[in-house]
Amino acid sequence: MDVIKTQQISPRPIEKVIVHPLVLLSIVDNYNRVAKDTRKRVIGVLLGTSFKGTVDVTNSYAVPFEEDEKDPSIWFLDPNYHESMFSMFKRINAKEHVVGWYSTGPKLRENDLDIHRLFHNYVPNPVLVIIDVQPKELGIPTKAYYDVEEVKEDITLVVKITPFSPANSSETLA
Amino acid sequence: MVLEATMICIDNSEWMRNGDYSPSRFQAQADAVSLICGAKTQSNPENTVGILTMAGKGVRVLATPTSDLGKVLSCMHGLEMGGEMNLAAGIQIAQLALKHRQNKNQQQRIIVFAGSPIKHEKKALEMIGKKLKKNSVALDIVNFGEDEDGKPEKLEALLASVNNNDTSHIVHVPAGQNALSDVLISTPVFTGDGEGGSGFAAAAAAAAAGGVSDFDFGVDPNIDPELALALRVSMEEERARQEAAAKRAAEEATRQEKGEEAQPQSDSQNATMNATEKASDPMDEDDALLKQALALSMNIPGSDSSAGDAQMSEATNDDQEFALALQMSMQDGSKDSSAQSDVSKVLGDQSFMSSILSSLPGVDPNDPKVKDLLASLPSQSEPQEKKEEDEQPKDDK
Repeated sequence: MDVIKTQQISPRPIEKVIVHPLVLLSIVDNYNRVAKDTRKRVIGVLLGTSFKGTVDVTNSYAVPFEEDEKDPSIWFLDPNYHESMFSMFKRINAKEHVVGWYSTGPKLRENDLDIHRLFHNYVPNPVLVIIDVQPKELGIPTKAYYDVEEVKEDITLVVKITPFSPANSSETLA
Repeated sequence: MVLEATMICIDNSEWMRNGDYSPSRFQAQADAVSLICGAKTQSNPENTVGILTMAGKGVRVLATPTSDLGKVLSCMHGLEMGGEMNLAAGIQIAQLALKHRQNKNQQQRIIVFAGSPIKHEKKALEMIGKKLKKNSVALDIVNFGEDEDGKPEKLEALLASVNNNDTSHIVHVPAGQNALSDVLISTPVFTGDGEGGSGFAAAAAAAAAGGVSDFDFGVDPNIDPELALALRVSMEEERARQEAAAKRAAEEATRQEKGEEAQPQSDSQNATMNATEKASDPMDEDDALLKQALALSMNIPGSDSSAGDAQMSEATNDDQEFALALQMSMQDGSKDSSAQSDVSKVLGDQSFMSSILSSLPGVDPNDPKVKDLLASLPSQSEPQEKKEEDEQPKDDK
């Protein structure tokens, strides 16, 4: 669907990710209502704009997500929900497009790479932001990642998620 | 009319390229899937259907349960084959998708098309089955395609562990002429737990499958009303004639000796066969013919039966009615061995003739020439030879 796919013709490597406070608030709020005190995590889509290597994440929404605790390769994310929701968001702000997705972690999990690959359908270089909803220490509760394809010595293609260097992920306060 | 949310798990592995189901396994599967979607949504407008693929790069959900048939069918487009099927993951992810259905009142059902070899162990499948049963999810399995050792047993074990009050079913579809969808229509997969979408299925069968039809004469009155009318008229005439013939035969049977008794009996048997043949479902035709063949072979003494069987098997490949004719002629074979007079006896049976004529393409029973022929048949002397020559070219058409 053209409405969903972005018009980025030449994806510029991302250097900076800026997360707006609305996003943080809605994620924490969602987590507290849905998955607090459980080991489940909340996954959602990040909307925003990217300009000259800087990604501005301005909005977000959670999506129905289910994974098997014992078998990490079994997971389900509702793509229909995401497509309907995004088309509605696009009506209020056409500049916002999908820039990536978030997870409440608190850490990276095995199937994150598979989920990340799913988001390649919507944006050429999606960004994964792990939001720590129960931070123990003061600081920036976000960590941003992107994926990189590497060819190893034995000529295999490996896709890794690597973090942005901490100096490059920042947060603006209202 | 059960309210159901269904997830269909499609096998798009490399094994689906095989052409033993026409046109290819994948295409046959796709047709079956579209029919199932249609049947489910027709049987209850609130039913939802979703699709996921099990092979390829991994299990991928193409459509979550939705009642929008167009969306579901468009997902089937442009699917590529490749990889290996992951049955366990497919079923588990289908279960997760069903968990997120919008209407919690809907019953959960998963339909799995298992076409490639299953690499999971029986135990693993049984555990999955138990989990499904615990979450009250019904499972339908369509076993087609690759016939690997142990595959039916694994699937049966899976079914046994899921089955709860006979809500789950398994269907084994061997490769062959019948399309996958045709075979599935008559199974509980389509008809649900009872009536279900059988109305839709019947209509679909009439439309989709040319040979199998629910209409009496194999002709849809909507498509060709004149031919249907002609067939109906000829059948009524035939019925009237057969009743008269049956009466005559009954009288003769009581009068004549045992040897000749067999012939009018078989005549009336054949006559009634023709009548029942016309009126009944083509599926029953096979059974009736089989019974007929068995009955006749019981009557015929040992030496004739082998010849009868040999010719029967040749004939049934071509034309079932011709096979009947041959059976009849085998009956008279003991008295009268020339092929000419066998054929003439066959041709002499007017009811049988009209049935042959009506089944020939391009022959209109209302055609004046045909009517003349039919009218002159009862007089069974020299005109018989002439009729044969007329019939041979017609038969060769």
